[in-house]
Amino acid sequence: MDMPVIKCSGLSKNFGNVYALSKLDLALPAGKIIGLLGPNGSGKTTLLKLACGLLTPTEGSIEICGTAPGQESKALVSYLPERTYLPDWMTAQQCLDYFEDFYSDFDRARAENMLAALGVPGDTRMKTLSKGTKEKVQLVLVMSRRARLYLLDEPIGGVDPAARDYILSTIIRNYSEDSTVLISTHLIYDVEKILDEFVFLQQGQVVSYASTDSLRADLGKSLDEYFREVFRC
Amino acid sequence: MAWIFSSDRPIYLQLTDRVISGILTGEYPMGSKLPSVREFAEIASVNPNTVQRALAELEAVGLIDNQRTTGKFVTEEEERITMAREKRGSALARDFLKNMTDLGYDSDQVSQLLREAQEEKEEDEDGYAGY
Amino acid sequence: MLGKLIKYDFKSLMRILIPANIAILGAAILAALSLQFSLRTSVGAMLRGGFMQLMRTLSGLLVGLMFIGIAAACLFITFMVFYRFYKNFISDEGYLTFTLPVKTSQLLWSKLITASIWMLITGIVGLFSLLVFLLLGTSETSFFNTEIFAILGELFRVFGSATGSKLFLELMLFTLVAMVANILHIYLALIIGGVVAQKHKLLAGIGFYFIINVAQGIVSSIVTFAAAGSTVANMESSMQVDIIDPYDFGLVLGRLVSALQPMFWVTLATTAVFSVVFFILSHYLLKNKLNLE
Repeated sequence: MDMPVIKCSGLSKNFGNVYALSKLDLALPAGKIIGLLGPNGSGKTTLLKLACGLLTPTEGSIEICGTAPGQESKALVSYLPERTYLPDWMTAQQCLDYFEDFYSDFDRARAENMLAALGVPGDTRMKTLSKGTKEKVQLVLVMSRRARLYLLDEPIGGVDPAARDYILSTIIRNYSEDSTVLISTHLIYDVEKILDEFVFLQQGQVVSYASTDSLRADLGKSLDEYFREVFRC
Repeated sequence: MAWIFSSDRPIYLQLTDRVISGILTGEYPMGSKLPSVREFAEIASVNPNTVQRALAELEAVGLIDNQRTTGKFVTEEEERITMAREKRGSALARDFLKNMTDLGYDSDQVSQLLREAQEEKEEDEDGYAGY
Repeated sequence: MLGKLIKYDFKSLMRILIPANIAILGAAILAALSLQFSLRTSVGAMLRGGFMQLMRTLSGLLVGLMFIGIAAACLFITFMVFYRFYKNFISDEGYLTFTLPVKTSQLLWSKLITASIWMLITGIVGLFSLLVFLLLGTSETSFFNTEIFAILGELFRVFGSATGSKLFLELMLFTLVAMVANILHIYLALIIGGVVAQKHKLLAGIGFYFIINVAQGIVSSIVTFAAAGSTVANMESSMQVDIIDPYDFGLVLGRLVSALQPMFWVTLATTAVFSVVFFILSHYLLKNKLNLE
């Protein structure tokens, strides 16, 4: 087995007195699409933010392809936050320029094709796009990088079913065998078909980590059913 | 349109079933080129690794030939397809019989029902239900 | 990478700040021309025609308006520079900014450098506009005010002398250091606001500006007080009227400058130390404490 793409050892993060993650151990391999699942407040976003270097651990460590988050790891990680983060004064073309300038793994031709397919003209300013379209542009930018690790935070939360299909097929189309995609979501039913593996988080700890097919083979249950069972109120 | 999968069996097994159906019904004719793993993944809206695994299963039973450079093709060996057809047919028949038995039919009544259905649907050749 | 960061920072501000600077210059020229118009309209003409009187009043009003406009533009530019910082670092754009493969220090440097450049540009445009206004707007007899030229010439002569040029350089140096310290002061305040507040981070940042201001004020008055004793002694010994001719402008200036030297360097050093402290604190908070919403 190669070096894990993400490796957490005793990883804890607290905000004041509140623990978002506590003593989490996890190692995720390369070449998989992995679901990061759990109820609201279970620490999904915190884990992603730690992995992309937006937060620093309170205790323990996290490594991306063998290095602590920093300039080096950021070049390997493509992160899609829940927020729309593109400067509103930039046109679509300028956004591409920006990504091309900063990320050496950015595949511009691919991004141009996807934007054209979405019908976003190059000279449109982000300001004039709807929230849904902005989110799609962000997804296109993020998935047009040839990154080692994609971190997608709730990519299908709050979008209509057609957009959901678009997003999932974009992920499938752009995913490559040596990269890992970590998708955080609470909409398990919609994503489980594209997941190799899943990580269940609860109260900042890993409840289970297994392969989706083995779950079906062993328990005869879909991930969605399993999730409802584990987290029954 | 994304394919629908039931929740009780591994997706890769359901994918192999689906591709076998495609081969048997002529959607993927003998000797024709199959979509690539990625294309399949997109069509079915499933993980490429799952498609890979499903196609590997089909390769193992000889229904698919993997030509390294040009892609994956449906086998040209007719007896492989015949075998698959027989296997699928007998599986369907067994399931059907089991369901009918559960409903309280005996085998004579089942044969009778089948004949009647045959007459009613002359022109509709493959109107199978459930699958 | 630093170069690329600066390029995009510059680009994002350019769209707003170039028109704002042109507006400042334009307003100054307009004010100058309308003042010249009202100066040339003689009192007699004013009495004769209601129209001329109206025009004169209007042009006077215009001069006032233009000055308010210039002040507003300068405020606006300053606000935009820091708002850009806030947007880029503390708001949602931070998700993009802080996942770029660059060092946090590079991010901070790029913001400091672009802000400094824009402040300098605006300062130069402002001075130039003032010059244009004085040259074009203040003479009743000719298009250019030749007296202003004379005064300018005198200024250049004084600043061209050995003492004068030293004074000039020191003033420039101090302006630069003070500018950097002010920029970093505001950055730190915005960052603390972003780290501490859950909502209204911008408002919290403004609050922290004043808190830092008080802290800075206390420290620098202690330092100044400590340094003041020797300066006063210096002044007394070198400025005695019986030794120097109070009407020899150059000599008085020279004495004054040399008497104030220790004070100047102490203040400069304090300001520079503040800058370094602000930078280090900002860097630490951005790297370890900032949690974007």
